Amino acid sequence: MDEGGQRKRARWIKAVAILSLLLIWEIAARLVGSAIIIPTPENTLLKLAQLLQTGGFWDAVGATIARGLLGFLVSLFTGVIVGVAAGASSIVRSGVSPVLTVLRATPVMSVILLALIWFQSDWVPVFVAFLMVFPILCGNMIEGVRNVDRGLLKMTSIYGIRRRRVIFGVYLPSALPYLMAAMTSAVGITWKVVIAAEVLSQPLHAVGTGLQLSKYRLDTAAVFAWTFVAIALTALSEHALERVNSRLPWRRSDSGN
Amino acid sequence: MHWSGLIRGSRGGGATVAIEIRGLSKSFGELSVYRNLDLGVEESRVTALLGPSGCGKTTLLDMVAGVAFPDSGRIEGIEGRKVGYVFQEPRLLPWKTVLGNIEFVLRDLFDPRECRARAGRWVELVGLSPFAEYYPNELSGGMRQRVGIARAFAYPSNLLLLDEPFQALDLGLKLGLVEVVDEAWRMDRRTTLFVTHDIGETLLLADDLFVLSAAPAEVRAHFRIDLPHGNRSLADDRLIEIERKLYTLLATESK
Repeated sequence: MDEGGQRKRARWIKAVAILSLLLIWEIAARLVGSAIIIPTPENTLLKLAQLLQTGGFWDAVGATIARGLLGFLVSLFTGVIVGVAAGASSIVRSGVSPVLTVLRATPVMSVILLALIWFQSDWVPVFVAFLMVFPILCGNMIEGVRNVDRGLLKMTSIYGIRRRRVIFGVYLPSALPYLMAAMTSAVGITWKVVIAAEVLSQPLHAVGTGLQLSKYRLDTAAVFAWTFVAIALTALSEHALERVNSRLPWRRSDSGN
Repeated sequence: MHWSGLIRGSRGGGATVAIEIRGLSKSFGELSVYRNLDLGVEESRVTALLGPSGCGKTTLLDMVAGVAFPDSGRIEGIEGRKVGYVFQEPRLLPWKTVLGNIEFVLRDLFDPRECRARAGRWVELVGLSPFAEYYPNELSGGMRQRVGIARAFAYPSNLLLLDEPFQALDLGLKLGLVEVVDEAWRMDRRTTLFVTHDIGETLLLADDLFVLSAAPAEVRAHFRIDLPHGNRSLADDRLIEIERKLYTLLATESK
C-alpha cells in the first residue's frame, strides 16, 4: 500500500477508536442511569456549550493557560541553562543529578501541599508546574548535550571557535531534538499538574476551580466538560510542538542523501 | 621541461623548514604508535605521510594541530599557527547550510560581510555555488567533503592538515576532489601536511613524501617529487618510477 493510503487507513482506525470510546461511554451512562454518576455524552456536550457562553469560562481557561505557560517557560529557561552546564561539565553534573532524582521522586501532591503553605493561591500551580517539569527538561537537555558529536567539538577546537559560539552553534542545536521530545511530554504533564494544583488552591479564575466547584454542586456533566477542556489544551499544545519540530529546516530531507 | 617558474618564491637554496618533529614518542596504553620520530615539513609545500591504516596518522595530525600531545619529544614551529583541517569525514554542522558552515569558522575573525564574501568565494571554487543554501543532509557524500575542503581553505590558516580526505569516496569522485584540492592549494600554496594510505593521491598532490612503517611508525623513505602542481598525471613516467619504488618498499614491509 502506498503512503497516502496508509495514512488514510490510520485516520479511519483513529476515528473508529474514538467512536467506540463514545459508544462505551453512552452505553455505560444508560446502564447506570444516573447523570450524577455518569452523564451521557450529549449532556456533557450541552454543558460544554453552556460553559463556552459564560464569561467566567474564558477567564478561567486564560488564567490556567497563563499559569501553565509561565511555569513551563521558567522550567524551560532554567532547564536549558542548567542542562548545558551539567551536560558539559561532569562536576556540575554530579551536583545536579541527585537534585533531579529527588525532584523526580517527589509526589506531585507533596509539592502541591507545600506550595499551598508557601504561596498565594494564584502562584501555587505555577510553582508546581515549574518543579515537576524541570527535571524532565533538564534531564533530557543533559542527555542531548552529552551526546554531542565529538568530531564536531574537535573541529571547533581546531578552528579556535569561541566558547559562547560553541554553546549556541553546536551544543544547543545538537541537544534540540532531545529538548523537543522532552517538551512534548512535558506540556501534557504541565496541564495535568497545573489543574491538579488549581483544584486544591482554588484561584478565582482557573479550570481546576471550575472542576472543583462542579463537583461540589454534584454537576458531573460539568466535571466532564471541564475535563474536556483540559484534554483539548494538552492535545493542542502537543500538536503545536510537533509542528514546530517537523519544520526545522535541516530536517527537510533526512531520509535520503 | 621548465616548471621551476611555476613555483612561487625562491626555494633555490633549499626551502625553509616550517615544522620540525623531533624525537616524538606517543603510545596508547601498551600500543606504541611513535618511537623517536624525526620529520620535517617544509614551508609552502605539500608534505605527504604515506602509511598503513592504524599507524597513528590522525594522532600525528592532532599533535601538530595542538589538540593532542606527545608523550615525549617536540614539535617545533606550530606555536601561533592557525590551522585548517580537512577531516576523514566532513564534520559539518547539520543545522547550518553550506555557506553557514564555512562562515561559522570565520565569524570570530571577520565581520559578517567579509565572512559571507570569503565563504562564497570558496564555495564557488569547489564548484558548489548552486548548493550554497543547501543543508548537509541534502548533499551527496562527495559534495559534503567539498564543503569541508572549502571550509579548511577559507579559514585563513598558515598550516593545512589533510587527514585522508578522499578515503570514503569512489575513484571517480576521488580524482575530481584531488583536483579541487590541488587547485585550491595553488591559490596560496599553504604549508600542508597530508596523511593517507593511497599512493595515487600522494603522487598527485605531494611535493615531499615520507613513507611510514607500521606502528611504532618510523620514516622508511623520503621522496621529493619536484613536479609542478596543476597538471600532474599518474601516467607521467617520473611518477610511475616513484610508484614502482613505493610498491617495492611496501611489498618488503608486508613480509
